[in-house]
Amino acid sequence: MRRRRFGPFEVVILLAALCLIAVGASGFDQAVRAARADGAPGRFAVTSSDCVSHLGHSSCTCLGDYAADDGSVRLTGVPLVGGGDDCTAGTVRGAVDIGVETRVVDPGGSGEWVVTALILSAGTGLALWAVIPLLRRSRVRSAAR
Amino acid sequence: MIRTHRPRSLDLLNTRGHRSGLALFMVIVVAHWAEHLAQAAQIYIFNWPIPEARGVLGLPFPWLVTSEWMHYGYALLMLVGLLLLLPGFTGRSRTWWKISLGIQIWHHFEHLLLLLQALSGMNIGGGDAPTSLVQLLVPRVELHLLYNALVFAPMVVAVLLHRRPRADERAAMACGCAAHEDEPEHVR
Repeated sequence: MRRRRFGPFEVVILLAALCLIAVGASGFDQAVRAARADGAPGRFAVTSSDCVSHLGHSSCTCLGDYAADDGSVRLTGVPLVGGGDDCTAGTVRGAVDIGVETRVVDPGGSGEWVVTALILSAGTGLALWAVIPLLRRSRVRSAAR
Repeated sequence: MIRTHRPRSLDLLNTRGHRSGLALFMVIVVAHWAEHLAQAAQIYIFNWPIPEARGVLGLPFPWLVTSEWMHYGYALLMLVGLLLLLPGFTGRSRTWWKISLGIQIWHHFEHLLLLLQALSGMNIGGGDAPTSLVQLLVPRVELHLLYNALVFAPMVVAVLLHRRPRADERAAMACGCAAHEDEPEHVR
């Protein structure tokens, strides 16, 4: 098999992979909080829905106003992430503020950790692919000694 | 006597053109994944408001995200690509490519089911909205990414096996996709 060498292309891929890992790592703490619905519990009043329609079906996100039970946080016009997609205007549902101004999550948690996991996996996979020639070369050298 | 001829262009695609065709197809598939991942990262890691999170190409071309035909068009492109490139695969890679194709055919069957419910007004299980069969188990929102992952994984296995075939598989291949035979590694 023709052996790949650690060249300029591998360097670029490695740098891109490190960027992906940095992005994934920066969102790790937030993803864990979202998955565990770890934050200030409150009530979410649905005001509208934002739907993407495809042939024969659609996917909706509930938009509404959130108020923490202790009154410490109020957010207006934010999406509710996780839970079902019943977005009937006027419905009041439980929600948790995880410390992010752009959304609140369902008390059952949200699956946004999947995004962080995918980015970390992609970064790690690309980084490993890029350094395989280096690993292989060091293994051949140690075997030759 | 009935003679059957496959179109010449299809033969070309699965022989000399298989490597280029497969590379182009995989670039489209990976770029689609990268766009979804970029959009998800904008929402869930960088905390952008959802309307502003349109991936990379969606920022200069917002219609790419809002067009409902883009979603189905991509699914159709996947199906056509999987079908057209199948004859070039041999052995184990052919099996994995067929698994990917089978899942994509099922994906289209689900779309058809949804469309028929929307047109007839009769929904599976007597629900208020059209429901696909898998949606009875997995929430609708995650279905798109789930199907893409289920189709993508066996596709990657097929491509890797196609690039590194066994001797019998290599002998049956009519394309130049396989990596070259062993060459000694130069240790500097």
